[in-house]
This record gives sequence, structure tokens and C-alpha cells, in this order.
Amino acid sequence: MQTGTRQEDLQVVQSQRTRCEVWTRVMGYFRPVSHFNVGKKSEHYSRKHFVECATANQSFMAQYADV
Amino acid sequence: MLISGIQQFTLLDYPDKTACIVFTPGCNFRCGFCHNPEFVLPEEIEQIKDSFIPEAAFFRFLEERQGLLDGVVITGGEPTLMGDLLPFIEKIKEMGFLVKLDSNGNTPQILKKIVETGLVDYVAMDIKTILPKYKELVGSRVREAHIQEAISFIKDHGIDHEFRSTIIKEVHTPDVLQGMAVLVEGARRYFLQNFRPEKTLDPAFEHYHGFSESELYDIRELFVPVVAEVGIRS
Repeated sequence: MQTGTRQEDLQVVQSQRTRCEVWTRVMGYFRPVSHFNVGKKSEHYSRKHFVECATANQSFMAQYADV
Repeated sequence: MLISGIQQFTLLDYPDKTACIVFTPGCNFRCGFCHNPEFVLPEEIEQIKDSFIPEAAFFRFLEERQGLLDGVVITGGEPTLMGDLLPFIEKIKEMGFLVKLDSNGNTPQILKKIVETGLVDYVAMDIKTILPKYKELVGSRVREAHIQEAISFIKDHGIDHEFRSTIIKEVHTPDVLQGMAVLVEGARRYFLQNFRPEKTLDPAFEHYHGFSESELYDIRELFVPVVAEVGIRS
């Protein structure tokens, strides 16, 4: 538990941060994103993730939106 | 009314009726075991808010279901936080549907106002745990006196109702369950819902456990003497 002002706490937190490696697949097997080439990185960042609720709502609207 | 999701058909949520479910975004509780965090956490609501369903589209859907569905279940999130909940319910009733309202009971003034209009046919309220442990489980927004007020109101009003609890092995110890039986004493219906460690608001809860079938039946025995109808949803 940190004590001090929020600013000080944030600085401590900042100093304790470590690098986080994200692994995912674009080419059929898992690799760290940091090892991807430019094109694959760009593909990775432009990915849209599946959100069940949003997708369900969109299909509802496809049926019941104003005609 | 903000509508964050619609389930077009359910046989489970409205006892003995066919119904659809309307979900509203936003909640005043933060139950770690919540299975609808996308309708509770502001940062998750933000992500889906572009896909919210306009009331008009919902009512077009409802027109198609006239004569087919018995009722509409309004849940969330916490639907009593919606400022225009009452006119929304009025419109549903005008179309001839039954209305079931789910609430966590933290806003008894609103619950009373809505139930006393006579527009709601069925109220379901969660009993999360015993009153002294509520804060620990659902967060600091809970007012234990409000929960008690809502429970008493629902029991005394005469409206068709149920209380229900999602029970978790690590949270609902025998003492707690006994205390909960005291809370719901005299109710018309009570449902035990077994916790499933799948999608939870607080990831820590994914390591918690539900009860086995025989344990559920043992727990049921605690409630049978004090509630007219006790069911298990697992």
C-alpha cells in the first residue's frame, strides 16, 4: 500500500512498470507482436475484436431499424 | 430509455411465461460475480454504446410479437436507474404485454413508485448476501436500509414476486445462507442460482466455485420452511 500524494504514488507505479509482451497470431501460430514486420503489426492494430453484444444488437437493428 | 441489449426469446426469465428481455446499461452495484459486466462497467458500456438499440426499433420488434409472447422482462444493469423507465413500461403495457422488472433493491423509492402504478406484473429482486456483508460483495453504493426496505415492500405489497440469489461456495457459507433465509422469510418464491465461474466482472471470481447438485438440494432445505416455493436454477 502506497502512501503519499496521488502524483507520488503514480511515480512509484511508473517506476515499477515492466515491459508487457503481447502474443497473438496473424500467420497461423503465436508470436510476440513486437517481432512482427510492419505489415503484420498494422494488421494487428487494425483488428476489430468480436463483441458479442454489439454484434447481436447490429443484427437486431438490421431487422428492426426504420424501413 | 437506453437499451443495451435485447434477447428476443426466453422461457427461463419469466416463470411460466414466454418473454423477451430488455437490458439497460449502468448499475449502482459492482458484484464481482456479475455475468453482464458489459452492461455495468462504464468503460465496457462505452465500447458498446454505439450499438444501443433505439426504443422505436424495440417497439417495432414488439409489434411483431403481439399474440406470440406473453411478457417483457426488463433487466440490466439496474433498470430503475433509467429516468424514463415508467413511460417505457406504460408503452409496453399498452401493447398488451406483461412486464417483469428485475432490480437489486437499492432504489426502493423508484421501485415503489413503479410497482404502485400497477403497471408491473412481476418483480424479481436479488438477495446478494446478508445485509452486513453487502458492501463487501457489491461495493460502496449499497444502502443496507434500502435493501431491507425493498424486501419488505415487495413481500407486503402483494405483487407477484420472486427473490433470487446467485450462490458461490466461497461467499455463501452456511451462516450466510441461514441469514439469507431470514431475509426472505414469508416470500412467495425464492430461486437459488448456482454460480458458474465463466465470465465475471472481477476476474478473481473466475477461480471461485458453485455448489454441487446435492449441496444445492441441501441448501434448498434451509429455505423450504420459510418460502412458499423454492426453486433451483443451475
